[in-house]
Amino acid sequence: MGIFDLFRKSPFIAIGEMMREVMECTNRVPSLYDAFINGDHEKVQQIAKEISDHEYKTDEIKNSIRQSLPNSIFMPVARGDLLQIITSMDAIADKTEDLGVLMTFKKIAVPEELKNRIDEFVKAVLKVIELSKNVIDELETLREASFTGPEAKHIVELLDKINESEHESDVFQYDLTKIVLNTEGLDCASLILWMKIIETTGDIANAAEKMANRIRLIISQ
Amino acid sequence: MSPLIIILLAAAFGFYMAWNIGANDVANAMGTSVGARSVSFRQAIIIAAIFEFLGAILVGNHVSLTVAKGIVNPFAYADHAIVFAYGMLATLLAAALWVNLATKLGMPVSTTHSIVGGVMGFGIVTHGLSSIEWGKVATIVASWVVSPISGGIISFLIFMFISKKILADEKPVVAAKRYAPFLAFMVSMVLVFSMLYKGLKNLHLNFTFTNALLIAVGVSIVFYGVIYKIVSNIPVDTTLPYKRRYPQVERVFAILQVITASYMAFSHGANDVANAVGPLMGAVYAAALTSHKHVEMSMWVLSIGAVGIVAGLSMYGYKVILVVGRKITDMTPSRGFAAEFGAATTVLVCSKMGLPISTTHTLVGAVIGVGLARGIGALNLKVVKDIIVSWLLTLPIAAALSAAIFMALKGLFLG
Repeated sequence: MGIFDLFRKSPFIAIGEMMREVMECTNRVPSLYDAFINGDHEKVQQIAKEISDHEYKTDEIKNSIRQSLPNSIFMPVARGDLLQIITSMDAIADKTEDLGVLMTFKKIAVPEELKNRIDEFVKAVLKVIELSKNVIDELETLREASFTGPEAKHIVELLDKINESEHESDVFQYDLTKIVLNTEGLDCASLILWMKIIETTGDIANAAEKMANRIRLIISQ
Repeated sequence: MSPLIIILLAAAFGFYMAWNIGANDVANAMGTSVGARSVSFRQAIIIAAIFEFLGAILVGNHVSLTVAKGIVNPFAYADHAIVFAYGMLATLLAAALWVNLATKLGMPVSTTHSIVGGVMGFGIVTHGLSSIEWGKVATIVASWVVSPISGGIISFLIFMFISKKILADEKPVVAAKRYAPFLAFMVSMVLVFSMLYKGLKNLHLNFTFTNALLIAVGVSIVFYGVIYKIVSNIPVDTTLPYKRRYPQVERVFAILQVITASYMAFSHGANDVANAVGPLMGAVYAAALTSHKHVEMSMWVLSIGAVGIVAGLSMYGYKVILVVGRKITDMTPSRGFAAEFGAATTVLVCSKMGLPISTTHTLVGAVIGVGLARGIGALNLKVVKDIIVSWLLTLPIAAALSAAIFMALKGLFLG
């Protein structure tokens, strides 16, 4: 068809699709925690499996986006930035999958104090993801706005919020780590697994923040 | 062959070439408008039909003259006007066949390059390499390199203006409405001025520089007012989320793009009809061209080109436009406006200078210019490589084909 092969589909649309699949993973985190704390091993396994399936789909979308971006594709954003955004999104799904898998390893003791505090930690992490999804959803509009103006400002505000929320989730993470380490009589396996679970949950938010920082670069370009 | 048969054949081949241009090339000129949904498919056909015709009739002769007598030295054929006429027949047929074939193969060839190649081919087999006006050929080839770059630079600047002044504004819709009449004024100035200044020779109207400028300003002020009135009806809702505000901005540009779509069709008609009309003119006026006579081109010669383009468009080109329109999903009116403005201005200026350039390649340059201004989601630059390849192929193939057809004609009719 000649010269109009020049036009390729905007990569931001595919990135939006990928984010929806990532959310399918992270949205299951609260029920995963519920099942784990209640000692419902079967349910934990079932949810972990669901997360793993969605992580696989995320991977597929990631690969198809990468394949559609050979060097001959010219974009309004640096190719490296775009690939880093995809990699970070993939890391969100990956860490969520890891979390699910960790919880299937063993039924462990749940320190009483942890039970009360874990909810706000999970909420803080999911808030970071929710905000990240909002940013991703705006990317195509940002392109329409040619990466400037009120739309760019609006996104920078969202990015600031992501950094803020990520910091909040960090604080919760430190608190929980302290609680676990100071719980008397916790067996070795429980201690190690809780440490890992808390760290991995925090990593989900970290991956989202890394993505946000790349998007900041795109705007400031 | 009797002169009458030569004229009839030339008219038929010229029509075939023009038909090809209408069937394939016009879609490239209209694609960005249909792709951006600024004009409907039906409107695109009507705009193309009217403005291609006007461009061909009003500005088309500048380039036709170059094609007919700028590339080979017609005086080398002073004693054999008939040879010159056969050469032009061969050129037309060769170029039309090559464009037809290449389009079938999906190659983005230029009708302009095909014609220039064809003229060179017959020139070389008749009077050797020395009969080619190499200076002129060099200018033409240079213009093929310069025109996409020029289209790119103009489009880049226009889109940067749109980006900085409108999209970056705190209230983009308000800004779009503020600048829209001014942009329309600018397009109209270039269009009307180039049409009038040394443009309407065919209508025996010759405006001086000042007169043309004054009329252009007058017409453009009217345009300013009309666009001002139309965009003032577009509502501004500053409470909408940004996602829904940019479509409002694009609505303003959709109106402007109707003007650039017409501009594009006009420029395309001006430049590309010459690809059919130039050699046709050469064949019809062979006797006059090869002696030192002044040629007064009659209207019917240009009309064959213009009617041929519209016929090709309405018989086949509309299908191509439909496909192209569906294919471009990432084009919005603001981008289309910038690209078309850059391409059409370049094409029109080159046409006025009598330089046959490729509208299609200029448009590709313009689209890339918008891309460089961060306007387009993703561009596949592999197409540029395809274009360069088809570019390098077209000249020798069209030349060889034209030489072969010429030898066949000569063998058959000149003994």
